[in-house]
Amino acid sequence: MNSSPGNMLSRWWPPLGLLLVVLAVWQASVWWFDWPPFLMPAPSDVARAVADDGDRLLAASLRTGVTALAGFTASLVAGVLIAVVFSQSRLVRQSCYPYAIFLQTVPIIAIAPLIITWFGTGFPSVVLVTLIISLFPIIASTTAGLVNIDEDLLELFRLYRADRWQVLWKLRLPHAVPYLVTGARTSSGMAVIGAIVGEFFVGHTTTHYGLGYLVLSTSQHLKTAHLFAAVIASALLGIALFTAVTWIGTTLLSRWGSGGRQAMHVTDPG
Amino acid sequence: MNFTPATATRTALALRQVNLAFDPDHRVLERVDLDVADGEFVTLVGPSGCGKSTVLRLMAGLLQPTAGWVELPGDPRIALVFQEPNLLPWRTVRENIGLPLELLGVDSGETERRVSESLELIGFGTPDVQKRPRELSGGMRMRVSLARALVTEPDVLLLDEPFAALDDLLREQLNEELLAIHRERGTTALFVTHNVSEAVFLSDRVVVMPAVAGGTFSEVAVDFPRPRTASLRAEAEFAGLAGEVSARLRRGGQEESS
Amino acid sequence: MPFPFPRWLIAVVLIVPGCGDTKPAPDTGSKIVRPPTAVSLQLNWFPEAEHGGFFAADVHKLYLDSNLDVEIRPGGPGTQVVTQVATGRVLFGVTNADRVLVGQAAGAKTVAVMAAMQVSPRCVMVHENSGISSLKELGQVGTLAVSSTATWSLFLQKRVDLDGVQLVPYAGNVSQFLLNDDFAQQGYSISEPFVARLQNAQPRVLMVSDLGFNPYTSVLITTPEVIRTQPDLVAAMVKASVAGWRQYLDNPSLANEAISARNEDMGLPILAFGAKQLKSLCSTTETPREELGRMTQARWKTLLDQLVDVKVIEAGKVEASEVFTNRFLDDR
Repeated sequence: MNSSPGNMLSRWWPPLGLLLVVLAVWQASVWWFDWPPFLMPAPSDVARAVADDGDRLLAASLRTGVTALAGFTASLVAGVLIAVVFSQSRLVRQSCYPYAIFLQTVPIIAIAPLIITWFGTGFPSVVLVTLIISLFPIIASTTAGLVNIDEDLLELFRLYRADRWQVLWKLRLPHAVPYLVTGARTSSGMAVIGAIVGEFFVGHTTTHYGLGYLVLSTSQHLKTAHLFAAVIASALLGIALFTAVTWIGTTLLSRWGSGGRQAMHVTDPG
Repeated sequence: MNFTPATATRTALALRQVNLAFDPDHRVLERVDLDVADGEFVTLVGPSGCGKSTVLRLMAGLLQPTAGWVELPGDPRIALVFQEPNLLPWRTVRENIGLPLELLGVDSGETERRVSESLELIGFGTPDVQKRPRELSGGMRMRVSLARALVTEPDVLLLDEPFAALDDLLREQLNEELLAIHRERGTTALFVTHNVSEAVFLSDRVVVMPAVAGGTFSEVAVDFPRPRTASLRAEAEFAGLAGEVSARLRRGGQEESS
Repeated sequence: MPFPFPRWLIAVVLIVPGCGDTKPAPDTGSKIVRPPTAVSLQLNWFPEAEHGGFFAADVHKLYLDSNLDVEIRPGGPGTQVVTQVATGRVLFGVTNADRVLVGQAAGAKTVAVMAAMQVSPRCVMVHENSGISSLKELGQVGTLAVSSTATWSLFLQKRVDLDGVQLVPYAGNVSQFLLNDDFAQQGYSISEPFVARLQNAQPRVLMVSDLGFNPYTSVLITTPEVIRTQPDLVAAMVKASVAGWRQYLDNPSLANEAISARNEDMGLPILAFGAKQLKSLCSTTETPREELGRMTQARWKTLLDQLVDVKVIEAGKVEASEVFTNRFLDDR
């Protein structure tokens, strides 16, 4: 990657420029249309809220970040294990895969009481909600990577009488890595959302809170500028996790080359 | 129909009265008999869809015949070189070549040694062995694929149009290298190709497959002495034999349309 | 031109009657019958007993008698009544006094014109056998399910030592309470205890108002703008609503049927229970039935100070006198 100063600058100034334009238009609109601050605060109000509440925001972001990371890691482990099981039996795959899809769509508000009954509230339950929300992309992409293998490669292994574990370990898993990276990138963003949503429903008390609590309390008390600050913090957290995962993925994939490009279409496993 | 091999020695592999149908209305092979002697180099030619690759796969044990049987006396070690190099993109050249030995459970020391031997055989340069397939040219990848096939020191080498995707110059060069390996190792070889000139250059015998299942097999013996050199291709007799094979091919095509 | 009148006179005669705001017809028996004024009333939750008087006013045609066509809009979780009223999306709203003050501090200016309930039904429900007889002893319970962000909850956490109590979010139903004797939860005295008793539990109700936090509940609000430009409308609305509440306290059955029809989860038995409880919540010794709806500056000020104390509102941002008025109640 070319990281000469000139090159870096040319990559960064377009998005930064856009940001400045948006902020200027926003600030001007609030002044021009006289929007009430409880509905639409100006960037200056939000900046003030960040300054006021800085350490609370930071602590909450850290807490939510740790939760998101824990949930994301759990979904990686669980997702890969489930995908491996799916890859070994067409019957299991066809019968269980639709339920994995259900994970995408289940409304957390509905299952939250169940989670509280079985696991109580606090960190483990929030991690569980994060896991539920970020699990499916890992399952979908890794299963595709494990299963969509060139028939020729499978024949090669069959030629040398490889057993299913050799095929899994030496062929399927390495083949699936680019697919897994794609899934992990999606999943990382969802993990932050999951951590916040989890905090809403199964989470923390007044003394032990993350961004989810901040969002709830600032919105309830009509402190909209502070709400925006919390929302921006969560967006930044999401971006940070996504960037970290992408970077790790790219480093890992430097071995794969063209195999990585292939992984961009994740098809439905048969 | 049974053909006596040109060099009369024991059979290394054979198909006996083999039928193969993928589904009841799609019969690929019907009552096929094919004999390859120990150390012989036989090439199969035929129009597309005649079942040449299928024959190789039957020999390799990747397919089972619907009727008849595959004879492999002495349970020989078989290696198959595919049309595509089929290298694992995440492995280096050394690691790709060593794969069959890994799968067979050979220990790493022995694997190292045999991989090095294989590399020498195909003339692969040392700095390239740490590269990955995407850093290699088409010809180099095919060499690696060949090296991989040879690393288990097979008794039988099956090759399915391995050089079809390469340019003529490279193909001819690899043909010569293949013959050198064949001579050095004494491996029995069954080669499939579209290219008549290649077939004649490489083989002791060229078998022409019919276009449809159940049709007549035909055969052309190639008597040129070994070792064969590039100059052989320029000789008149070579062209004559190539013409003969082409003619048989065309006849097979005509039978299909009649 | 055969037309005898100048065109401008005709224009005035045609246009003028169409202008001007639609005021409700005065009760002095004017011969001009105007159609009832369309009015929207936003509730702060699903229709329940706490809104009983407004439904009574609707169902007993008290609004109609004041020439008001009131559309009662149900609310739900997340309904921001104060914001909706302040921005003019809805003319009137029902909310609680603390929300009015929070809104005022944030710039969403509304004014309370009547308070249906003098005593807040906000309570904490414990088990009889827990041995806890007042909120001050709540620290003894194992688990307490409350909304962590609600103002009353912040007040409770500040006043009562809850170290050692596991605070969990309130799940919206009594199932956890039924399963665990060492469990306490938030509720409204007019509903949750009833539901718990139906399931054979023995709940004890601890009123948060006893601890000193007692916002006026089911308060009717509108904007200063509406009060300024349409005082007759507001007066009519308040008068009919107060009458509706008196009706509800006397005989809630028709209103409860209307509520139940609009909220399937509220059965008639629980509504009847709620209506009965409301009698002591809507009229007290300080504010007897004849003065239903009246509010005092002192109570608003107390609430304001409490909200500042729990840091929900910044000191000095709100003037208690600006958020309420009794002037529409003086007409009896």
